[in-house]
Amino acid sequence: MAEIRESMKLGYYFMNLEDKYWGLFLISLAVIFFFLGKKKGFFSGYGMLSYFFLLCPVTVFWMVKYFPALAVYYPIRWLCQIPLFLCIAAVLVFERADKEGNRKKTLGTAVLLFLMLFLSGTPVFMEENRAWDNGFGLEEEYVETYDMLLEDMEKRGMEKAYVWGPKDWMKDCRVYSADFYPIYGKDMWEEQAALGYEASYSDTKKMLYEFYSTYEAVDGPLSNKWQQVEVLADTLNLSSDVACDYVVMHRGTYHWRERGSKVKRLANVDVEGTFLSREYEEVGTTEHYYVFYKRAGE
Amino acid sequence: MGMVLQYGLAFFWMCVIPVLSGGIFITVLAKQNRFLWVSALGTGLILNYSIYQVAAMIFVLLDGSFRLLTWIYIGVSLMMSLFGAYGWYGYFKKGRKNEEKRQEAYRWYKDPYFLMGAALVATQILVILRMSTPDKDDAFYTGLSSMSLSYDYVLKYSAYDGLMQMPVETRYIMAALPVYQASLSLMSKGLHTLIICHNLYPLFYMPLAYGLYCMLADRWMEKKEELGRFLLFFAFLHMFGNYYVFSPENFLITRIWQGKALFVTISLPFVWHFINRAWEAEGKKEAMTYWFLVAAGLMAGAFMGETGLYLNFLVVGVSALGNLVVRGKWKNCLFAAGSLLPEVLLMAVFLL
Repeated sequence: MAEIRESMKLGYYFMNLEDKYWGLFLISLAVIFFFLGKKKGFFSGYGMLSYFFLLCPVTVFWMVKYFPALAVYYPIRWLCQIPLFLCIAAVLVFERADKEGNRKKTLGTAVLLFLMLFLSGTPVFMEENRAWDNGFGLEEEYVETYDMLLEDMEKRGMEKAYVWGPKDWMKDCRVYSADFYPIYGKDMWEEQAALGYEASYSDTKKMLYEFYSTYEAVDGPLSNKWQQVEVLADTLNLSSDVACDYVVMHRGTYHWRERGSKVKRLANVDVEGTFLSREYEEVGTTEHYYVFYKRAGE
Repeated sequence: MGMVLQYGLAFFWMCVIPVLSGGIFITVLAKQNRFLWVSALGTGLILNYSIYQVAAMIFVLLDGSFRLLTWIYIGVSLMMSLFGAYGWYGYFKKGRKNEEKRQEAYRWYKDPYFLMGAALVATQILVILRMSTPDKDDAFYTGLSSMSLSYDYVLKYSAYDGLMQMPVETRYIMAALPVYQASLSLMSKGLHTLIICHNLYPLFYMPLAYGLYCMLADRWMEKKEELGRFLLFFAFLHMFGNYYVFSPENFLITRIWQGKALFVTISLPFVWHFINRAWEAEGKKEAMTYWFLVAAGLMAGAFMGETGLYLNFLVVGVSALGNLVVRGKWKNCLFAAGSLLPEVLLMAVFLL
């Protein structure tokens, strides 16, 4: 009983969401049966069989049950059935109207047929299909900061920017814009053995990576988060061999204290104040991040 | 000048070679329908794809060189084209009059409906050339192509992050289309795979797909003049078929360069067509030719995507059952099952 209910649900889903051509297909089978001449036997017989095996929700339910992957590509199998049968039926109806030689009737039939196809479907060339603002599915919170950076770069007349921030944020920034240059790549933290070659980074960059990782982790060599944020800001300031224009920091950085197996959150760290007191400029804030600009020569 | 040569070479490998290869079966193809060029191009493509698939799988297993694979493919496809060219020569020499008569039967250029339909198809091609929206899948597939070109291997590492790590998943290994596109790039003197996929595929294969549908419809139309009306309705339907991201309409006019799209628009209808023709065949030779083409079409489906592998079984099963119920000839079911054997073997090698 439960299985029948499931199959009905699946049928309902396909009928309501996926295509409105479902009903038209059955109508087209009837049209072909009544209007097509000699070849109607094969066509309508074949159509009914393929409907039963490929389109009928109850059959599809059983197929999907044993081959779950079929659920995703279910409509692919319609190719030989739906568009072909629909259009042949449309031609037959049009032909019937045209035969009588009544121009108004012919035109009316054509308009009606096109209208049916138009109203049953959804335009393929839609703006939302065409333009992808975030085609690679990047985190929205990252995209917000990338946009902020690009806007600031434009104001400052910069063509490219060296950036430093959280691991994943750095990893994705190049996907968003080729104008971002992370100060180190993800080969900094990927396992060397898996990479098949050894990444060559300066000791300063390795140190900066260690500091940022410690800052991002709940625990680490420096348990005082305030101290960690200060170290980050100072080290970058003092590392004249590392070109970096922008730093991205987490909002809501807290002191932590371990109590048994639990970690207790203490006070909020003033990241903003720490960076601004060290000659960094605030570009902006988002819900999750601060973006700072490191003044040139500082 | 360099670009012209590159495009010329791409056209040669993507269209001329398949049409010539299709000539191998010209006597059988010419007998059954008047869409000879469409039929020959499609058949040739299917032959070339299936051969490339088999060769690529062997190279994957042996960890062979991509460039060597391409050279072998060039040799085999040129040889097939020579055989095919001989077939075409015989066809034109003996059957020229029939050819002329056949072309006179329907003057498409005088049919306003056909011209309107063709204009819609041209518009669709123009739109996709000007406004295509490649997605993550495209990045991955073209990434696989670029990695074959750069590192001379066949489907070895995943192209998800550009690093030489993570073996590519079995389901991607089983479809050689991205490597074939890299071979096309190599054979067209370095034309970028992105240009081949996003510009040349729609330009060359969208008309083929529409031609193929017209060929299928033509089998059932009673008057030749109805073809123009069919094309008009069909092209119109495809512009409003975005009810689902995997709809055939969406596949055809937004991303024909992807394996699944090629599977839906080229391989699947051809397999269906070949099965029907095999059932209708008059002589043993003709029937066996079509069953061979069914097997090649199924292999071409696997070449286009792993989806093809398992959907092929269903399509063959339903088509065979449909024909059996409506037309009888139960022995053909054995041939239908036999045509699946190469694909079963392919699956067994990779999955077991």
